[in-house]
Amino acid sequence: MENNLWKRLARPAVFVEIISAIRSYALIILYFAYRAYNRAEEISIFNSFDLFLDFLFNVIPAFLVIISGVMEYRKFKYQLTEDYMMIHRGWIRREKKSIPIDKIQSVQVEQNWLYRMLNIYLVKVDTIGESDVEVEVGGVRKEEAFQLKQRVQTLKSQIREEDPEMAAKEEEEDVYRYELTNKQITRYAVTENLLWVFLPIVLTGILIYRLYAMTDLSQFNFALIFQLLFGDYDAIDVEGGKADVTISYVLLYMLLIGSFSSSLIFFNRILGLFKYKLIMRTSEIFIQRGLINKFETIIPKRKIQYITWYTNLIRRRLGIYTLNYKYAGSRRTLGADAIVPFFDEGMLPELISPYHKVDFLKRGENNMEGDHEANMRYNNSISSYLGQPTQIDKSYIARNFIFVKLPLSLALIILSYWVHPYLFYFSFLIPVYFIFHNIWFARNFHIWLLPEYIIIKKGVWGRRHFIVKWEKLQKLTLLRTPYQRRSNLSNLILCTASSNIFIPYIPLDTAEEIKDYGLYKTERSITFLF
Amino acid sequence: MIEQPSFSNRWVDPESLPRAGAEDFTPVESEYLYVRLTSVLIFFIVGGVLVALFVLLSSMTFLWKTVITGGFLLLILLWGIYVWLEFRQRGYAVREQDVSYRRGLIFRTRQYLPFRRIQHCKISESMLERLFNFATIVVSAAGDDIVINGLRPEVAQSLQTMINDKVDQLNKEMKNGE
Repeated sequence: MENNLWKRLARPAVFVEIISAIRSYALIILYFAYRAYNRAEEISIFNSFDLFLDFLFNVIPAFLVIISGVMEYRKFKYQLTEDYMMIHRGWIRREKKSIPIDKIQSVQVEQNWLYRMLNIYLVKVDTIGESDVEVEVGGVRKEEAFQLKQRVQTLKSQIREEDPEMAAKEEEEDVYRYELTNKQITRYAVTENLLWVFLPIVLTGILIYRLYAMTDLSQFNFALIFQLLFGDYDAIDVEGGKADVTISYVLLYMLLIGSFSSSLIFFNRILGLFKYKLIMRTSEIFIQRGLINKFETIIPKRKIQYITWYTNLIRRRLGIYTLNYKYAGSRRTLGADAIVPFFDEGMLPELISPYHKVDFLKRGENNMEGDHEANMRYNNSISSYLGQPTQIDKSYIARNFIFVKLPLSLALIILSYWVHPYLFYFSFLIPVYFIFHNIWFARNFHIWLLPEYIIIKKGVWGRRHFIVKWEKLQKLTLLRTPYQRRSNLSNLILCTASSNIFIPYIPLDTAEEIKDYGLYKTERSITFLF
Repeated sequence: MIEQPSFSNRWVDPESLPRAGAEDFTPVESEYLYVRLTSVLIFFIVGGVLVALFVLLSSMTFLWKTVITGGFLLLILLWGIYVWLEFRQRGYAVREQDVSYRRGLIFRTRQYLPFRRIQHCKISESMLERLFNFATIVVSAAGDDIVINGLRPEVAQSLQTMINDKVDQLNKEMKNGE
């Protein structure tokens, strides 16, 4: 079988490798180029031994870089068998990779200007989940590139034909449609958590006022703000000398950037919701949204890894929620966030149904939109249906406070000193708040373990729910600190193909149970995840 | 709450067992410790030269020079001890259905990755590892990896083959609907 032999890159690819080697050692090369430039006026290197040594010193790294490029080229080989794509590569760090053909998601053949000049092609082979492209076969001849692509696709299609879900894809029909009115979007925008938008703006204002108070200017007007921003005035100390305001200015510019970006994010989020349309089809969810930038997302149902829905303090009272489909591959694509704002909890079973048919969410009687009491009843019904939850250990409160929240609040206190002295005194309330924050966090963290899925409910001001099917778990990690080892506790990290869920300070037995059951369910599941 | 599965794959907590009997995790090759210590040594030499240059050329008081040198030595020593102690915690286990790895001294982690979720598996050998005849195996799932250092190349090779076969078999099983 000639197809089962190792293949190497086409000859011109050696230039690509050298250029990429130069790129990865760019800093070293720049340094030596700078050295050579400094010595440029002393023309002859053969007159003095010193200069000759220096020349060698400059040239050797260049040789090394070129050699490393050539070696990378020489060491690269790949092979495509019936089941695997195998790649051996690397000079200093050697790698042997084998990717099952079934797991390959896409094959792209590309050519940029460099490749076009050399008349070769770049083949990108991609699997799911990783943030960057899995394998780049950089530099093969045209016919070989397309042959490779062709072969992977034929091998893959043989697999796909036997997949019943793909065969059923022909009969697509719209099951459920959902659109947002402009009134709803306005309500959604107003109830957005504006704290992170206003806080930097207010702090910027305070800081500008403080800088103004430190100058000897008497009148305050708007033109003055800009002059203050650019530091046109000298600050005066108590003794009448010049005060050092460098740190204040650094903070000021950070706050300005913060206010700018947080308001930009806010407006983007809101504008992105206009013309919102969701169509649930037999095997996929289609979301279209956006006023200025249009986003269109198609999520095959089986690619949904887990679902999370959340709400903040105000929205909780009004019964406004946001649901997010976390699906495999969403990490990579910008703006592909699958967000569904909804204004009626009764929609929840419908929205979760593509992931799993849940039966704990029963619509309460007369549960109208915004009917506060009905909503509360409804919220309670989740708890009453699911029974007693597992909770995180109370030692989380003190432990997390000492090792995480206290250093954080110290940093915040120190920073606020440079914003305004009054804010400095005020900021001593931050650690006090964090204590209550941790108490509420520990009290509100609920985990329900059910035969088919796991539900997590958490939140201090707002609430966030997760629903994860056991078989969607990719990897389970138990992480234990010395204290947790002494008191039989554990942190648990649930890794899915979309993102990770962190559960702190649960009893070790529960963690082990979750781990064992999760592994058991994963090992028993026979459906494709992607 | 959880239905009792017919299939059992229970762990015994390795820490509750006497050390001699803790056979759940295979410790990595004991000689791999020298690879770990060599990287500390390399850092010590490179860093030591830099610190020596800095101390000799700067115009600080003798006390400060002593403090800096002593601090550097202490740091290296502590690091070496940490590497040594942490090394004893390292171990991997391949069971019928999953791969697991244990590491960490202060923050002890145990990672579990079922075969059914493995995307691919690669062997990587750095220069230092090749010098000591070792290899690293990286088992990747869609979300996260398990990196097992300190295997002999032939063990890594057979482990890779074994994982590949297993993944392939599971894939076929999934395709044919069991």
